[in-house]
Amino acid sequence: MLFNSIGFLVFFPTVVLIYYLLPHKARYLWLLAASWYFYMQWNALYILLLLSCTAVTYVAGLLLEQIKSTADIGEAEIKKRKRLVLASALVISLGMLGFFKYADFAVLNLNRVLSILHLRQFAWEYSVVLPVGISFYTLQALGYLIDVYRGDIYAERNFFRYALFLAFFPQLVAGPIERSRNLLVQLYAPKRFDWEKLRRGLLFMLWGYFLKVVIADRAAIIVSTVYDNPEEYAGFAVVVATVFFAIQIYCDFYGYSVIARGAASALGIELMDNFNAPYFSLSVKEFWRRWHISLSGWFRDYLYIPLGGNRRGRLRKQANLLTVFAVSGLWHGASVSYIVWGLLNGVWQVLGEWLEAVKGALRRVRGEREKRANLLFCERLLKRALTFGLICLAWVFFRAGDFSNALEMLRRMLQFDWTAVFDGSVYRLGVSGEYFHILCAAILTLACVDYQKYRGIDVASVLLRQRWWFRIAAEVGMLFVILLFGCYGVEYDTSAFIYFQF
Amino acid sequence: MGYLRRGLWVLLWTAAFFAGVYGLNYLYVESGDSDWCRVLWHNYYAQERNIDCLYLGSSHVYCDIEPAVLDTLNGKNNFNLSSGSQLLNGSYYLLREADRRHDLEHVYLEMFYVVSTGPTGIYDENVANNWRNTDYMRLSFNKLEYMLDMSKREQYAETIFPFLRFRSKLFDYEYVRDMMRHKGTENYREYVVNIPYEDGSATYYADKGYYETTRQLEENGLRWTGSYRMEEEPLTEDAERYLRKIIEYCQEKQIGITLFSSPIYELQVLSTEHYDRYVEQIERIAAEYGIHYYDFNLCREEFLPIQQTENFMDIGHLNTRGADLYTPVFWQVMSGTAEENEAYFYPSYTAKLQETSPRIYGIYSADAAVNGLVDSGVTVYRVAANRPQDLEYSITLTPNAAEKTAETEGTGKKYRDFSSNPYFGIPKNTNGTCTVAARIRGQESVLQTLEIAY
Repeated sequence: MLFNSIGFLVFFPTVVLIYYLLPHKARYLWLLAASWYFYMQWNALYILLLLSCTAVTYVAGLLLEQIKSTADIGEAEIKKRKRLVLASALVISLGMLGFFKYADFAVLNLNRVLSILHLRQFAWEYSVVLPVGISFYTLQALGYLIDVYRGDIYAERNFFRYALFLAFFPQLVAGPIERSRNLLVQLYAPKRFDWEKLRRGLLFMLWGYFLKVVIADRAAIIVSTVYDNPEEYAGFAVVVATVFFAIQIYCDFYGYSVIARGAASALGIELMDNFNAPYFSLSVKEFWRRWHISLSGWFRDYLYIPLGGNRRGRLRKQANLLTVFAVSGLWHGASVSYIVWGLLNGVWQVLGEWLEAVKGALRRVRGEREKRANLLFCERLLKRALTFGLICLAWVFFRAGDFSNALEMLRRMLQFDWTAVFDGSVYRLGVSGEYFHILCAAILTLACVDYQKYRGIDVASVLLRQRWWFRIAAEVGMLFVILLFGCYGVEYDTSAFIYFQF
Repeated sequence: MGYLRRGLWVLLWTAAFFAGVYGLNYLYVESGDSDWCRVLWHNYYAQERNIDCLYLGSSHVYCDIEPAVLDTLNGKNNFNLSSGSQLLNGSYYLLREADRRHDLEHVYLEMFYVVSTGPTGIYDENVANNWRNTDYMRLSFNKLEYMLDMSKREQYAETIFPFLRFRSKLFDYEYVRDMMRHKGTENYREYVVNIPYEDGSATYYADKGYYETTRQLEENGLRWTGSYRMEEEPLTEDAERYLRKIIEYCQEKQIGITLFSSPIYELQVLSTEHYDRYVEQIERIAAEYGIHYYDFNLCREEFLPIQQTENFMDIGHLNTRGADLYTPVFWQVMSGTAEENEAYFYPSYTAKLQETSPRIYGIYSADAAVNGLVDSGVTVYRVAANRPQDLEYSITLTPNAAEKTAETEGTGKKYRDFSSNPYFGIPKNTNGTCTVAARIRGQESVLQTLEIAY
């Protein structure tokens, strides 16, 4: 069930209504049933995987705690046993994820190696379909388990509440990857109907739909026109398509996250903000603090820091950074191009660090004590443009789907012809002039809202403080913009959110 | 106090939204064809008397059956709740709509084959034909069910908010201007539909779902561009399901029901391969439920002498003159017993063709691929004759003055002298007159000549 489907528009109000009508104690069970139903709309059998992951990590969590509380053995033995339990749960959970996500990729590459070595290739005639959301709920479950292992939280004893923590439908299929300290705790607290939270939630959802159907899905037409027919386009068209892909993927994923936050808020549950105006970042490092925050945070806490983080010298830190980004790329998809995309983002940051080191040395030579706090407007603009450019360059690998395709797109990008900038060729990329202008206006609106967010101003809160007639005009206006300019209906394929495939 | 304020806020929000919807509908929703339905529904809801006899179906009902004449013939209140290309799913929900407000005695369901058969029929394409009704029906659960049932999921938004169907015209200011001009006219405000034609004829909404028209089918207009082929079981699965639902609904509510097909100009029936298959299937279903089906295309000429161009407004619809002729006959059949009626009808369409004297009715485009006459440069036509095995035709094509070349100047070009081959080709994108002369095989004298514009 997609957020942008008619089914969800019926499902969601029904869930909210019944949720608030039920007594507090029964509400989480209702949410769990609704979440499982929501998930089963893709493929009823996938629920078995979700249940397996839930059961394995639930039992492992309890075992980890029991070892701690009942053992009359030495610390070393406790640690050893806990490690064994954690490792077993990790192997099972990651094994499931690995099989469904990487089996095809692994066999393909293994056969390539065997072919080079002139050895008999591995027979593999299966095509494994990736169950939706598996990458997200697996990481969420593992995060919980590691927290229990570290003693940061107590293991959840109520199986159904724990199951809801993993299956909570707003964030089940594409995050945000919630921490048990945030979400699990909220599932205990009784929720009274909160009118303000409901209004705020609905406003978020409206904004999310705007991002998805007005911007992302329209931009997708331009991107697909170029990227699906690379032989027909070069230079300016490829640059435009890449920039629009950067906008598409942001609005698609951010749109999903905002709808998820809104839906959860309507149910009285606060989810974390997954994006914080990332394209206003002044560096790639800052970008990754603002983009897919829940995933970046997960990798930081459960991979980067355990690898040593920045505590073992600059080179080790940079190696850790590259490792984390390569793994992040692999998490996105079983393809060399995703790994390259991840590594590129790591490389930009490593280069950024070196550059900062060089700049620091230069400052010292010039006798300046420290870095200037306030950058000039044009300096900020230049830094943002450069960061955006580098991120876009990496997005080529993400979108092209195949490493050789990505290289081909980059080669075509270099065949730049300035006349194409002015000859109206942007209107021939699948979107008519009028809709292209509407798309640009919508992106400008997003940029204004994001800029305020970057400055720490929450536009939703500002809007909700306005006079009633202004709020109604703004909200109803936004709904009409979605209805009139959104990509939906018979003429368009209701497109799934990009991150569903991960 | 808090609840009151929130309630008011929700109310204002909803009001603002629906004001926006109303405004956009006013600016964008095309009236055109649906003007007819707008007036029909206005007229329907204005009915103060109970509707006793309800006539459902396609445009063949609103052009062919005169409720005012029936009122005097049967002393009941008759109403045509028909709409252009009304599908059987539409008829089902319209029946329920009428049954909600009226104590129906009898339902007469017209069965136009083109809108209920596949694959050459148009059954599945016609969500727009249902929109004509849902746009003007009053809000009810029946309407909601109708809207959800007739639309695919992707169409729900367009079904519920009509202006969304016109998103492509969002920036077409000329269109908006024309729409506002049209909707500002007195006729529109007063629910009057009156369409004048260049030749002085006109079509206008009379009353109770009937459209009077003084338009006449011209002889040179006897060219039909459609051609249909009936499968073994021509009704689509969906159409059959709804037909059964309609019958079962009526029987459950003890409302009488009779199925019928209005007469269309023979040219269209002749352009349909295996028409009898359709008649047989409907008769079979009707018999299953113990009800009657009367196809007035099988009616004997002496009982209903309707097959003259002056009785039709176009190939498919009667004009007022034709309706005046047809409505009393229609009622005579409907009020008679099956045994009495048997004498008025041929047992099948094939039998009718065999028993009528040889005649040609026009030309229709034939499926070139089926007939093996593929030529990309021409449109293949066939002469529509009731007894092709007994006839020969000569074809002459005379291009219009603007298209005449030195070679063809002054005279028509004989395409083919008398031959039993009914097929011929007309070059695409040309205009002129096609003269078809027919004679009985082996005879010298010409039986009939038609001059048809192309």
